[in-house]
Amino acid sequence: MTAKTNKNSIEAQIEHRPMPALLRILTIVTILAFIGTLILALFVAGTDIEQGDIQRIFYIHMPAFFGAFTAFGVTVIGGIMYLWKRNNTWDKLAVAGVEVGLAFAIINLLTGSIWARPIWNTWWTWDPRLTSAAIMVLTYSAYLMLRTGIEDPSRKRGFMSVYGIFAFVSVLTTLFIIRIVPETIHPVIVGASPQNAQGTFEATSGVFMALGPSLIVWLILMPMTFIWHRYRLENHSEAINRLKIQLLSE
Amino acid sequence: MKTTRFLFPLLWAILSIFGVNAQDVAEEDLPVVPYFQSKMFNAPVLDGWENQSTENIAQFYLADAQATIRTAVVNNGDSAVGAKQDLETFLGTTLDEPIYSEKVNLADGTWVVLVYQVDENTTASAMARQNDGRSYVVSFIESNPDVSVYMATIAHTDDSDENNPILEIGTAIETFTSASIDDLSDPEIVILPTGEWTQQTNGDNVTGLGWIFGNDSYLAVADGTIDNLPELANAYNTTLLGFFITPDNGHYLILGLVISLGTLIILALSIILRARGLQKDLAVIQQLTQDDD
Repeated sequence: MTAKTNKNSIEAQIEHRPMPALLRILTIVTILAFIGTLILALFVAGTDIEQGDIQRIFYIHMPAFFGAFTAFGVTVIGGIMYLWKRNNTWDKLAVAGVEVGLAFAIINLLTGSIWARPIWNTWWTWDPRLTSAAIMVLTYSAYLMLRTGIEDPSRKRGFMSVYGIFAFVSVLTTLFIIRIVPETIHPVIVGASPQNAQGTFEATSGVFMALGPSLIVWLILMPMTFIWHRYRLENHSEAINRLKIQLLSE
Repeated sequence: MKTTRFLFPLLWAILSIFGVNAQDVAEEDLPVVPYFQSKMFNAPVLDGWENQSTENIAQFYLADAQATIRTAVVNNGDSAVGAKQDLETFLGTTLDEPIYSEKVNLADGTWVVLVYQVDENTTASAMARQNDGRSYVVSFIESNPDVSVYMATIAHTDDSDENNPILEIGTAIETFTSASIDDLSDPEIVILPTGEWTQQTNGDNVTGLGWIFGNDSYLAVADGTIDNLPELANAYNTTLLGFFITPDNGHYLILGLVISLGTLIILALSIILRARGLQKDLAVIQQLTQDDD
């Protein structure tokens, strides 16, 4: 009787959990804002006379990194809080952060490579920042693979929390490496580029006009929206798994 | 969960501030070089010269020297033919064979160097390069009756002095004038905005100026009385070296956009499809539960 009550209660929870109104609004706002940033980048910002149209990819490339930074930052917070509170909510938040951050980091890496082809005349070079960005992507890909490889849920959550915290070193390294290693050819978009930088351009008011809104959308709105949706999925998945276990145990 | 609600906005605010500050926001007041910009090319605007540019032609005139520096595009894939066509359009006359014709490899491609003696008073020097079936022509035309001025770029040879273009100055003087290079003065250094130029003269009012940049010597030769040859040489070579074509790489941008949007769509779809999969699981569980009941 108790098992049946529990089962019904979980089913009720799953069935009557519509998308919150705030998330609906946030999703619509994010989609509209993203379209707006694309319009600014493609039609409002001027063409860079030295680099041509490919420079416009920076309005996605750089904000995508900061979106990944935010998402991976959420993973760090989730990891720390899980280790402290031992509440599964934080672990679900952490994994949501990794999945969203990894997608953004892949966009950052691929758009950088596409920009480099006409500007550096190569798809890839083992520049310090490019290398650290690639290591960052591999580190977080390994997070997702490792997560599926650990059976014991409690052990998995603990281990992945620690992993998620330490993996953030790769994000910070990618962010700061061009300030530390002078041999880089990677330009700095905001601030002075290293002397060796190739394909650099000055962040004029026109650039900021397109880059500013894009940064806000990628840094705040997009990670928040995607992580929230992904978090809800994780919640849903956990509830159904619990239900399956209950059914099997009866 | 209440804690989570409060923590979310706080964490985002902290991460956002930290993330943006890490880029060291520091705008510098850099000098802005004025540029003529057309859809086809970009060329520096010459300070102190009268700007006679039109929508697709950058053209600057210096009345004192009766000299014009002009950058234009000709729809002809042969840069030598294109340069000749552009000069003929500007001069309104048909040109004979050039008195000098050569090719040089510069950082942005192969350029053809042409020098014409148009008539007794007028000379025309041009450099042209081909890109996407068009010829981009940078030319110097002067019609001062007191002097003839010639501009050319000559590649270094094995015999050249790496630090001094005296060999090339001699070659240019012999090519464009009847003066003997045996009578040339000792080289003098002339400091111009483009760099350190070497100047040599002879008693017949012939002046040669040369500047080494990369693997080439940039030269100006005046046959006659002139006091502003350095200014003319500097202006022409500023145009020549400051000229560039905005690359046409929109297809790479499209590729980048497709990949970015594709990745975001895959992420969104994966969440939607997994949610639908869970709904199906739930329906099966409900069915089993009902069967049990």
